[in-house]
Amino acid sequence: MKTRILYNRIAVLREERGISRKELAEKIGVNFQTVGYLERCEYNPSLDLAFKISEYFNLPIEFIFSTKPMKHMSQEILELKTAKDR
Amino acid sequence: MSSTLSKTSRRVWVVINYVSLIMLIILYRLGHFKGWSVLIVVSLIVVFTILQLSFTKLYKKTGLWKLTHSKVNDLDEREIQLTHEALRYSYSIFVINCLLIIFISSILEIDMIIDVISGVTLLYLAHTLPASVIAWTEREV
Repeated sequence: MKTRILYNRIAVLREERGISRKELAEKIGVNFQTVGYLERCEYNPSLDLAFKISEYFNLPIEFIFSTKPMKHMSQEILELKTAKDR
Repeated sequence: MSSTLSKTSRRVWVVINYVSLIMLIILYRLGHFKGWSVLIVVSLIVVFTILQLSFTKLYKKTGLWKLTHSKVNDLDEREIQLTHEALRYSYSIFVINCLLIIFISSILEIDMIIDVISGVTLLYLAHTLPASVIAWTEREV
């Protein structure tokens, strides 16, 4: 079965929180190389792992993972702000 | 501590490893049937050293041996998927290899005796093939 690419914001969120791949890997219980594979969208995580990542960053799962290429976070914030102002 | 090798380097070491293994068998057979000359013994030692070096460099130092010989509980989900895929390919390669040995032996009418060297070689091949598949295919190890 051919699976779709699952895009994610793990690299951005990790950088934002100033943690290394190794630290994140320890928190979510995977090898640090797996974090690299996830960040490059070369590996689709299981639902369990996706939830672990979402719980670690304390963000909704749909904010971290998407089947469509992710928008830049600044663009997303601007769109939210515009929608709120209307 | 595990070291990283580029994909090209890993592929080169896989080739060196298996070529030295084949050379080892050929030299052993030569020595066994034609007599143990100094040249054969020296060549055998050199080839065995190369085999050992490539084994350490490719499987031990990169952590590939540990990866393919760990319990499932010690691996994460990507590693489990990776080792399962590698085992699947290794099984096919190993079966083809065994069939080729039987086929060639029957064509050349060689009495196929599984001696120590054949047994050890097949055992070595069975244990290193999954790691070699990963070394050959994976971008990052």
